Amino acid sequence: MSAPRRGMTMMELLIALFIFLIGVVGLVAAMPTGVNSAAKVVFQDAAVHLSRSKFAEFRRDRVDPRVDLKDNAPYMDGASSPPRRQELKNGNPGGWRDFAHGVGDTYEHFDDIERYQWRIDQATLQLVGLDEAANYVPKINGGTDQGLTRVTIVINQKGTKNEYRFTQYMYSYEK
Amino acid sequence: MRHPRAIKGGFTVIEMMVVVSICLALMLMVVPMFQVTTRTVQNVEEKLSAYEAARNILDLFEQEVRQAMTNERGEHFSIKAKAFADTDRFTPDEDNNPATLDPTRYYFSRRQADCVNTIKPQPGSFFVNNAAPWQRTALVDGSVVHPFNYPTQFLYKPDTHEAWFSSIRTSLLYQIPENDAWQLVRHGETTKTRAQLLDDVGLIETAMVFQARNNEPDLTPAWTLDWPSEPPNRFMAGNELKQQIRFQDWIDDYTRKQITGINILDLAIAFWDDKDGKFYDMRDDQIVYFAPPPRALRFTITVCDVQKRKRITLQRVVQIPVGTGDGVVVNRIDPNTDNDYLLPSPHNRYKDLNFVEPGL
Repeated sequence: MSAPRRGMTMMELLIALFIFLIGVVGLVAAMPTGVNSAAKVVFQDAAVHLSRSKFAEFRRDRVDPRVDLKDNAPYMDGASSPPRRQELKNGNPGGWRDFAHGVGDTYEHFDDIERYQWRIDQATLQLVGLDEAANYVPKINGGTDQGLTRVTIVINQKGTKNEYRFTQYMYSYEK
Repeated sequence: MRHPRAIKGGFTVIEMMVVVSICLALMLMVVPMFQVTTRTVQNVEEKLSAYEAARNILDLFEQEVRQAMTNERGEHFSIKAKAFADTDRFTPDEDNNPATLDPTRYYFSRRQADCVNTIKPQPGSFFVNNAAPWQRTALVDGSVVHPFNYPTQFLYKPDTHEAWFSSIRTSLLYQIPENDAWQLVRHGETTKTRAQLLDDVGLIETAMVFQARNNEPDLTPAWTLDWPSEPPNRFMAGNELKQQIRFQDWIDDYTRKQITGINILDLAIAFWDDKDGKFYDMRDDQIVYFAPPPRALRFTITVCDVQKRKRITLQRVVQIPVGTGDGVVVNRIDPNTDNDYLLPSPHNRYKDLNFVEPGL
């Protein structure tokens, strides 16, 4: 004859429920991670638009990248003549600049534009061709200056460490 | 004697009620959290899809308008500006009067329907093959030649053109025509009227339209030797690409192209004024012919999906490689006159759109 089966006690049941609760809480806690990832993709999309616009602005203004895109150059930080065409630094640590979005400004209607800021990575603002192997660009006639400058724009979501870097090689325009 | 099942020691009713109550309480706590999270995920996903559409639109517009060129026949680069009041409940009416145009752009029931017209090169170059004499040139895919070959004998080489007129706009400005069933460019869809589009803004779509531009005499109806592609026929005010007509015959397959089909609410095109150092939006019902083209344009688009769940507004600056003009438009904000058009070229001239296209 088999032994009589015993049911669960209240204590066992509560323990089981507690474990179940931990599982549910863990599941719910994981969901914001997914939301954050999606939000990052939105930011990435916005950053693509904004970086392309900034490069277009530099080309529109016929900049000499190694001269005009330096911090404190008249084009970047000058107050008046020659006309300043870029936003001044916004005071946030890291030398960031807002995208101009006041009435009549270039980015006036860009959704959530006040959440983004940008800067040029000054360290990478250098001649292409100095290091042939690193730059994938061959030297011409043994020289090093092909007139190409690497320009990297960094776009950051304010209040976060989220940032994307976009690099293009730019020639110097004759003005 | 105890009932045989009693010795198993199962739950009592009280225990069951306690357990069920605890479970219920847990579910009640968890469900709202799931609901909020699900709504947030849905919200972000909708936003993502809108961003994806906007990226596609702006990438298309950018690569298209950057192909704008000038030629020795005279430059052609024009922007039109037109706005309409929609009657869709999706967009709030700013002034509570559906009959009037809301003053604020993008958010309310004012739909911006601008347009930029350019000339772009024929994408391709020629090589000589060993076919019959009149077939000895053919296109090399992916290559770019120009300026400018002058393909003649167009009827024998219908896929070679001197250049293309290009027009970037939305179907709200010029509706996309129903096409011949056998050409199936739009799969036989009927043309939606502007009233239909304004009543359901989720139906408005991008419309990029291209028309071959050839150095060809018009041989019909009777060898008139009219040269329709020559100035002033093609370059006069109001002679840019406007309302499309249905594809008429096989030759339209070679001389007309269109890229359409991405949902869009607003398309606004601003030009760069290099003297003032800022972008200017166009005044409503204005068309400006730039000579030479401005250095840059700024596209502002509002995008929503067909279901009208989410809407975003984005902007992109696009440099025009052949844009050497200062972008200064004299009397830009004067609403009454268009006599600046009479000033000699090169000059950025504007006309009243109602005069150029009455009833648009």
